[in-house]
Amino acid sequence: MAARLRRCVALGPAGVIYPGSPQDYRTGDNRAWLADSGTRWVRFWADWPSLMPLTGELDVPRMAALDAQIASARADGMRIILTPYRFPTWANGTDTMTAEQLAATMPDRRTSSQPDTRAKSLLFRYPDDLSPAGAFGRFLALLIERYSPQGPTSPTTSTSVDVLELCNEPNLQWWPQQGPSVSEDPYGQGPIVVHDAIVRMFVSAKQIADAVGSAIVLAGPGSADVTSSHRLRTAYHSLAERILSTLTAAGVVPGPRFAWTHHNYADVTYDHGSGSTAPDAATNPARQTNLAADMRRRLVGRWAGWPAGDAGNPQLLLTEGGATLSNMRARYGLTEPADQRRKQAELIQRNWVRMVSDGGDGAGIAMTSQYLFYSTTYFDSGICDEYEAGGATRPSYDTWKGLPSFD
Amino acid sequence: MPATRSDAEHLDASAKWSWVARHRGSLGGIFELELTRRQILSGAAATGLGCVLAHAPQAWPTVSPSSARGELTPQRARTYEALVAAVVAEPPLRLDPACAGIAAAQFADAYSPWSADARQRADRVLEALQRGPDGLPFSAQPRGARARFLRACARVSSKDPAAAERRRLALLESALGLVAVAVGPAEDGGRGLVSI
Repeated sequence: MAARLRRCVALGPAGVIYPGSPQDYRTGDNRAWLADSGTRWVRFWADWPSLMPLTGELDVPRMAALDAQIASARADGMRIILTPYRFPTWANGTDTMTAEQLAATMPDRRTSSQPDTRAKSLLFRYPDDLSPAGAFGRFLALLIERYSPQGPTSPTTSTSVDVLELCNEPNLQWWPQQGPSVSEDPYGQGPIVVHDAIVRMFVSAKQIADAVGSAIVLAGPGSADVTSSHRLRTAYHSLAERILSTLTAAGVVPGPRFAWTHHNYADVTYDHGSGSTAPDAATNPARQTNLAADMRRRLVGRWAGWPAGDAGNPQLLLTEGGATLSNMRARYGLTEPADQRRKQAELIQRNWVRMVSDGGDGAGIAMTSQYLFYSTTYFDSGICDEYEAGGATRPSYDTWKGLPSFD
Repeated sequence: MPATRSDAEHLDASAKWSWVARHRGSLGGIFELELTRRQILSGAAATGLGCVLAHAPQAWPTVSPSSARGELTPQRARTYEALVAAVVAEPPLRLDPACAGIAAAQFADAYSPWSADARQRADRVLEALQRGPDGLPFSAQPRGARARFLRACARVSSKDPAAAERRRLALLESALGLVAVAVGPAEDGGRGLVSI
């Protein structure tokens, strides 16, 4: 059994965008469920466009709402991951683009056959300047100083986080993923470039944290577990290989205060690994490979990061994952709500068993996360029903509650 | 007295808007009706709405029969298109509002196979939104006024918003959730966010 497979619940970003919403730590049963289920870790979001809608100007009430959620979690004895999210248009330069310039970005934001309505938001364009002196660097510095244990500008000594995860699914959500097309078709393939932005973020964050003497653990890249690459997305392994190679080439050593993070929705949903119970497991060899385990294997010998700076035994934090009821219907053909809920619970249990095993797919996996207590209408991965529908716990909640707890 | 489908069936449009006009404030009748997020979206709306309906028993427009047939009503489709046209032109997307028609068609396609509960939740949001600002239905407002209304809904005045503020935030979140059905990358699998 893994020494410490931590359990985390990731709340949704709406908790900071819409304070008081069901994804707010303080709303409904969120606090009670964390305590009751023995969950020791919770993940919050620092949605940059919400917290800083104008150049250098904080939305004070929203910032205070985030402070209050963090303080409440700390008072409850929770360990906390905070994930910066999205980029304001004033910081990424899209606010000054002309209509023609915006039109030219479409190959990086949608496929050639999609309408503009399917384009990625301008809020997912990463800034060109990711240095400590740039807008992103200054936002990171604000978060690091504000939420470091005993940070110089922490509102209270109880307002701190343990981990600052620098990005969220950059290989799926951000743009551009690739440089200009190498063919005449602007929607054609180009060289992958998104890793370069992530590396620059990593380096800047380390410099900022070191400069202020922060005890906070930095983390990233929070990769989406997608396995194909095109202009709009980059396979997690392609991203990881490039990040690791670039860091090595630059002589950057992450050190014990920098953790690698990854998401594992596909692993949970398809029961990835030996003996997968996915409906197509007999005909689809991909089902026999656990992607989190594959990700962790790629770190061995190359990522001297958290917790001990030992590249020989790197640890991986899974900071999002889960199984949606809609996938229980679509992937497993379960049409009855009760059957969907039972299958969701079974898959969460099976994922735990895989990840907790030190000798198998769980080697080096230090945390598994459940995305959402309260489900949302369009992403029903929660282990409880939607708040609006009464928020009843699902069988998966009992499964989650029955798992061991580690700090 | 619980709100039932029959309340809406018995309400003609002129009576509905007459009543709403008398009960509307700067941010729309939904807030004066003291609806919670849960009531807006659940389709139940029994307890709290019952208190309101005790004073206006025929007034509350709920879900019209066409929703039960699985089709988006023409008025709700217009509300949705007006919503998308306002949202996509804002700084997070800066798209041509004319593309809202495409999104509305895609939303109507997505809506039809939803469960009755899901359709009713969407209906409630669109109807609450349609009650809109400044004495005119949302879809009848100029696009700029619709955008201002949505931006006003997004404002937060305290770290622990009061009930009325939570309700308008909830309305905005729900409305933008509907926009995200047809706007933004389909590959997000429902986790995508649309912002104003």
